[in-house]
Amino acid sequence: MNGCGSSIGRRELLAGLGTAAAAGSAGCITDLWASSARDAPQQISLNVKTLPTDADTPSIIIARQFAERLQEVGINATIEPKSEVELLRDVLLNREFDIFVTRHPGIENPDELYSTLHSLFVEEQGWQNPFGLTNVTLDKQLQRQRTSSGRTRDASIKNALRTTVSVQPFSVLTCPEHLTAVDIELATTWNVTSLKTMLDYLRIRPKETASNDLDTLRVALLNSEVTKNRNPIAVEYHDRNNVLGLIYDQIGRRIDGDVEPWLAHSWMWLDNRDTPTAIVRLREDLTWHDGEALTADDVAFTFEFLSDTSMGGSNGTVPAPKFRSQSSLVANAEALSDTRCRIEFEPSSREVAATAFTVPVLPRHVWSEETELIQEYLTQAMVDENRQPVGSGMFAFDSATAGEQLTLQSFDDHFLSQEREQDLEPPVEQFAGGPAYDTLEYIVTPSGAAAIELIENDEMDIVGSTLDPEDAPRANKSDSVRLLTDSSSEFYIAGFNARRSPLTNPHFRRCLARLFDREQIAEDVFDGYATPANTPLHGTEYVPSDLEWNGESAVGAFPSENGDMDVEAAKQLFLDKGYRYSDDGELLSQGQS
Amino acid sequence: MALADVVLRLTVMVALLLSVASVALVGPRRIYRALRDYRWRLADIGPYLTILVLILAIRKLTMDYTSGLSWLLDLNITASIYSLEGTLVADVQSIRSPMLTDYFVFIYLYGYVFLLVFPFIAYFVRSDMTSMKELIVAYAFNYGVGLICYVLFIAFGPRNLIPDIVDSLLYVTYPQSQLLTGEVNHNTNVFPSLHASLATTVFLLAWRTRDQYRAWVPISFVLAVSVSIATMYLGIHWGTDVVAGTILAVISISVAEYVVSRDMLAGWGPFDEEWNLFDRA
Repeated sequence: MNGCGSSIGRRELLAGLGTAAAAGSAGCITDLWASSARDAPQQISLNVKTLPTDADTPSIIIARQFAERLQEVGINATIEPKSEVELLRDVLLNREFDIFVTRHPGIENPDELYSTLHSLFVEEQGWQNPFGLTNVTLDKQLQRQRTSSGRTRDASIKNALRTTVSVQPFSVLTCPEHLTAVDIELATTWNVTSLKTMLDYLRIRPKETASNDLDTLRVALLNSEVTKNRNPIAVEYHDRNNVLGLIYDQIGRRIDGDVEPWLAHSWMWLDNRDTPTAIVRLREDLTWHDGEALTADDVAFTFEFLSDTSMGGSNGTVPAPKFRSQSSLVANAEALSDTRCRIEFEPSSREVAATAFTVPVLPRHVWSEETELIQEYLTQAMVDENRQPVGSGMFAFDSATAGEQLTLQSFDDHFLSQEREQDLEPPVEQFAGGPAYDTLEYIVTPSGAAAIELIENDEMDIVGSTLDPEDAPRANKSDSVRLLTDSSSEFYIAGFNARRSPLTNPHFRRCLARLFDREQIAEDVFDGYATPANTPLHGTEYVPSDLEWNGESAVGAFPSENGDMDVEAAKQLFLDKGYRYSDDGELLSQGQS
Repeated sequence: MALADVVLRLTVMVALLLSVASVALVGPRRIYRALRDYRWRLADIGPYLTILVLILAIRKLTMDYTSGLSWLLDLNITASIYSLEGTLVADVQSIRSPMLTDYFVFIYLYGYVFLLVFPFIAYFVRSDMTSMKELIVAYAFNYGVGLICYVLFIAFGPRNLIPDIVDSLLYVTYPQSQLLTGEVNHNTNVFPSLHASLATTVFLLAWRTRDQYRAWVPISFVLAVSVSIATMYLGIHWGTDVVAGTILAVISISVAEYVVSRDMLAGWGPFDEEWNLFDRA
């Protein structure tokens, strides 16, 4: 923490000089000896890392206001804006942070809490416990959530959420709406979607009456990473899956809340076993974009590879930093034939086990050559840029220019676009025929405002990233652009590094959590395009009623005075938890390293 | 394409400004005559020009790597600059009006490029290439030091740190301009302001050549001051960046004077006598 632990405080120095001046009396020597043997408490220093405006406007505003409040309560707080990749690298890979504020990619299904918070993952990378939280009670609740079903499971999820809120490894600040903009002409003749999920790309279709054809859907992209790096497991470049998810298809896909067979024709659970075992049957004649056949062997490989990207070539396992929620469920996967794969799970309910089917399937013939260790617990696969991605999804990679554009072509051999539509059953049936356009062209655009202008100039059709709330009025005002709002499982997060003192103390983290005025954030920073919240999974039936938003945070109210922070009340929060202040109003801590 | 559109507009506007200024301040006949005997002029400034082109090329080619290097060094001074000067930029923005915004957008995009290019024309037609060489050395020095600072420091501008206090006026009024500025530089490179330093450099050189281009002195002064204010008014640079840029400009003039008075670059590399790239007749 800023490495100020070794400096000598002003008061210590003065004390030392004072004693030296009075030298001669034996008592002073003793005093000097006593004070030099004890370290004086130091002011607490905290660094807040976040994104700059160009990457995310709400993050920098929230983080900076927070850092200013920390200063007001006597903490030596600094703010550090970092580019998106650098922030994720610090937080998700190197765990090099005190506090970070950003937009979390979202938690959709409760089992993701397991990989997000279980202590098993403290030494892993990615969104797996970046907080370094180790809580025995929470571990048990998360485990029970995996193994139980029905009401027992619901109760375990609720308890896990209660514990999470109570110990605050991170603070949920607010749940934003997903905002995009689309060309109004397109929106009148087509059914348009917000492009939030992969299925949204299939749901964009002409209304039945419309006859106009669209060869190319031109999508504005506000984040250029995918034009440079297309590695689906490189979490620092892609902690969301929206573009690469089109290239890499999944065994099963979440459609309207349930995991439904996708690349799989079906799966069957074997009875009479302690732990679930499934036989997955793939659809016939699946192929990779490079023409190779996609078989059950690739599926088995995918699970083994995601659990250990070194494929046994390392001392321990080197798991992929992404899809851990899914890969940690699978104990063993084995191909029985070209289309049938047997998957044995870790102890879990079938409901939870089925979420493992949402991993993207990776081709063995590509990734088995990336298993070499280049550093301890780091494989080639994790750092490869994967410029020519080979997937099996609805869209195949065509071309890209770093920082400028990415072009995908619809994949003719995909099971949706083949003339085998009689095979398809609901709910997959609704996507028969595949995308309603041939080419998907992503164009990197520096800001939401520029993207909206380019749609107005008819140079683009739709925005494929979420807009900042400040772009909403511009889209609303425009005659040729329509603003689309959609709910989102994403949330703004302030993450605390529980490995570092004094953030090790849950009471201290709770004090910090109370310094966010969530109502004000939702209203002022998001202009109302967000709702305050206590927990992930906001708005789902998993959140217990006592954690639903009731006007103030579940960890306690924001110490407010005329809409601003009541500094004295805020300082009292820390005093109540045993913290002490210096004469100058600095919040002190013993032994902060 | 949108970027091409922005570039085209810039080119047309700057060409227009240059034509008017050339006719009014230099005169078509002098330009015509200078172009006719361009050979000795080019031979004289060749070594200098090459240095400038080299530095600009290095800057452009290494843009992707230098930003990676900056993040490795990780000297993030954004918050320090903010705590040093506080809300100065917001104070500058408090004078805002739609007309002023239009003016400063115009100055930042078009006025700046015009200000930088015009001296090349003005000094090229002179019968002595000293000012031209000083101009080139000063530019090269500015860009060189800028490049080093951009690698050393990570500094986001006010619009990136305090968007709730400072508006990103350039990109709000003219969003597509970010297509161009994004090509030219990264958003982590605001310290020092090369807009301010190069603009001030031009004015300081104008002062040195006041005997010949009297009218250019007040024009370049107004433009240089406007550019410096524009960088803050538009929320792009901190006051600190502008001050650092101004200091850089002053240093660059001394360096230029020192180098050119000794004609230090005349014989370097390929411009040695043996090479004789240009006919020195």
